[in-house]
Amino acid sequence: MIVILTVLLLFTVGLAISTDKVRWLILGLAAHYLIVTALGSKVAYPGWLASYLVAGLVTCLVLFLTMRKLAVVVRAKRFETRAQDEVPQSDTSYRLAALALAAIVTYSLSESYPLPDISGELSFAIYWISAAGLFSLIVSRGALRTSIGLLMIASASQLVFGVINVKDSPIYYSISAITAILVALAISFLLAGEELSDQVDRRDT
Amino acid sequence: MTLATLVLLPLIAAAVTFLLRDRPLLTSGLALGILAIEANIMRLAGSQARLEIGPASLVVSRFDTIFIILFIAVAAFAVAYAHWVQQLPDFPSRLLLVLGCTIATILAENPFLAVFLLQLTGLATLCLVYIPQAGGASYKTFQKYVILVVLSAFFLVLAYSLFDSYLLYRDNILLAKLIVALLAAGFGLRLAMVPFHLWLTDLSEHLPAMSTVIVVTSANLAALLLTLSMFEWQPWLLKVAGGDRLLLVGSIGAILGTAILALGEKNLYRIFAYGAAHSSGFVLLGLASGTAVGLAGAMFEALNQSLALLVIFMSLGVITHGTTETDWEHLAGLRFSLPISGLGLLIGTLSLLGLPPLAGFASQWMIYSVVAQHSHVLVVAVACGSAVATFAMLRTFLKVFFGQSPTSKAVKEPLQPKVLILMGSALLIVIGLAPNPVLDAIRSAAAGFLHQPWS
Repeated sequence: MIVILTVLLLFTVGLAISTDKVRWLILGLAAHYLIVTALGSKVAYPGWLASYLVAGLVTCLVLFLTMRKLAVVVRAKRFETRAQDEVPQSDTSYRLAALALAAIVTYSLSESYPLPDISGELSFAIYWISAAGLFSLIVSRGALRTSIGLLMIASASQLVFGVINVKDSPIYYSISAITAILVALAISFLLAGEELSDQVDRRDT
Repeated sequence: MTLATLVLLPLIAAAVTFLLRDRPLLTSGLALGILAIEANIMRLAGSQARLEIGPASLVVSRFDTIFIILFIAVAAFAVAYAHWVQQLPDFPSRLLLVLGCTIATILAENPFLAVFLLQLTGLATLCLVYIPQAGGASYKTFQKYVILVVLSAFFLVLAYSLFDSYLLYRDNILLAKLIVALLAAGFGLRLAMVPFHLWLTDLSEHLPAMSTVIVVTSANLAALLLTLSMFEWQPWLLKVAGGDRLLLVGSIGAILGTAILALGEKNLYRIFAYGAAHSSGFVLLGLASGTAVGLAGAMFEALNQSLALLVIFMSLGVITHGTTETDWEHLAGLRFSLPISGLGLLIGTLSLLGLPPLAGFASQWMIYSVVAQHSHVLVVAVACGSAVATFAMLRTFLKVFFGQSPTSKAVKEPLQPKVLILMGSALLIVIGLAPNPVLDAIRSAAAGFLHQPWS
């Protein structure tokens, strides 16, 4: 079961950072929150699991509503094209190869330098989500992929807090969840801001 | 109850002033009143006041008192200034929101809670960074700041989570070094240390002056106090894992790097943003010394940095508002039309550079004295960095105010900002001439920290 969840995590995170389709991107993101909750269920407190999952799903909802509103403002076709343009090479094989390489490196890191006091699969999950987030931040050119990278890194932060240095306190859970949701709201501003700046640029030219 | 009021009052006031945003005079007055109440509460709270909320607790240390009062003073100047020189809309409510979050971060006793609150403060500060109608470059600045907040929180959470593991496996030096590296990355991002400084210069270029001052003051004070409390909590970081060497290298790099980068800048705000990062290098140098004198010098320099930046940016705000020009090469001969702004810019710059008889001289003298006890080569390196920074900033000042070909556009200097600039400048001069009251307060706060000198 653990192995299946880990493979699913590999797939869903990869989907979230590589796909052109916005719906699949959000679906991948939401699925990764569910899988991480399942993976952490043996270690983390129920309070943390609940706050992580709720914050994650609210994040996906905020992202979905923002994208839908922007797709109404901007023609949907152009929006999908932008998602494609944000990766330097649109070729699927390039992206899959890069992801496969990242997965191999992550696995090696988690085996060679496992994080202390947690299981191998959780260690791998933290490394993989962090690596995917940093990868997306570094190679992306637009707000959408930058946002996914940021959400992955925020998710990794919460996961670290929930499983490595475990604390059972509603205050920590709530602050952790609030910061995750605020990151999502900041990202929605970021996406709207990119559209606004594009409109300003088009008006100027 | 006192501490709860200290945190909640600005947050409630932020909501109230936002609702009253159509009445700028009322909101500014209300904000100033709230800040006065906060300062009084802080003064009465006393050291070691405590508030327990379940496993989380807020506690006041002596450093907290000094720096919260400093932040309140800076905020008061900013609110008054914003009433006369246009800043962001609803500036008082945004500022009060950031103030409440910053106070909560500074007072948090548990480091985990403080890290999450630091991230929360960073996200709250976004309300000062986001300018929806500006588009273009402002959006890019916003993006950089969001990335900085999330990334630094990730590094710090990971580092803090690994602390307990290191205590169990003390022979794992690699783990210790990883923790130090993560802390360096996390705090380096927040404190705009080279090479993580780009967000600060972009921010200063695209935001209104007082927004930059509040963002820098809030980020620096909260992150600095968190760094300090972390070294107190885990003193082995300075010795076992080479934390002192990393701080030393980082601080020298910041002092030299920012000075050199400032030489090539054309934008007025960016040059002085490099000055702020240059000053942060001195703060870290004082911390790296591991001595009580160095620590006191670092804290005094942080205080000087906040006040000097305030005066500098108030002056720059008047200059750029009047001339609508931010490239210093296009400005010249403003000494007759903007004399007070020129005076404020000069005094703020000299204080930031640590020249007598201003506040920065006392702090940097203390840091130099500690560095000199251990390595004359380091003193020379730091002095060279300061010399280059002095050249970069004073060259700008002289060109703008004493350059040939006076700017033909008639520029007026509004009265109220002049008064604020003069007040800020006077404060820097008074602290510089009579630093002992402030130094005594900082020294007694520093005495509580345990440090080892360099080996």
